[in-house]
Amino acid sequence: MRNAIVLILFIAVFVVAIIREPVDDTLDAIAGSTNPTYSVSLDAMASATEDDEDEDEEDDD
Amino acid sequence: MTIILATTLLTVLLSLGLNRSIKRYRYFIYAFFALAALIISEAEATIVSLGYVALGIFLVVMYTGVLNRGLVWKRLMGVRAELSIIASILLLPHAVSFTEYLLEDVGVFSGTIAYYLGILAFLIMVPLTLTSFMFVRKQVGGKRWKKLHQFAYLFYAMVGLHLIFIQNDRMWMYIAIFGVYFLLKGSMKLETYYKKRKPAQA
Repeated sequence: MRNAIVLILFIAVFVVAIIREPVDDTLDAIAGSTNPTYSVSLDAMASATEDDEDEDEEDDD
Repeated sequence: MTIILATTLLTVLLSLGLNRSIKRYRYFIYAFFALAALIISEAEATIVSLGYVALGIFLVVMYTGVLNRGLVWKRLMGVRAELSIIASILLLPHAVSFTEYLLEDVGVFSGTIAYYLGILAFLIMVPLTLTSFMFVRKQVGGKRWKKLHQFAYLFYAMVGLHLIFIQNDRMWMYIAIFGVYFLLKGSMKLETYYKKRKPAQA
């Protein structure tokens, strides 16, 4: 019984994760680059906002 | 979460298939992962330094404790100590890099609760890992070892809360994984309690 519960739980969470997390982001993370799916935790832990990209934009000219 | 669960799946498959080899070559495996952890700790954000790989392995260690007794349980149980040591080694870059980040960039008293729960989990993990080595376990003695390793539940709870309090997109998945674990463990403890109580009453 417990084995069945564990199996169902992990399959369910895996399916949800695959649906919610883009495969490209997962592959990027494995390759060592951060992306919206796998880098937010660092910002969130530092209590930093995630939508401040515009402020940091630099002019190229 | 995909990375964490893929690591869990891979760990289960390798543990079932290479059970004896993991046990026989455990010190080489520890050395390999220690070296890998050392190299990885130089890089900024990898799946190891973010703690995903260690968590994936720890989930196997954790959930082995709630499985029904059978062949899968027996095989996973056989390498449980080895898996927990490997996971602890791989957790080191995560613990070191984030503690460094807390001290240097965030400020020791300015971190979120997730930081402190993570540090607490790490502090609980250290003696558990050290006593997972068979030669240390023998020196500690069975009863004391068992008593000490009751703290593993506290460690799992701290890890779960650490992940939940990060409050990212994966929060509900962490709640499901750690919630179901503690429900299953709680039901097992109750079952054992009533089984022990019955003969006493008779």
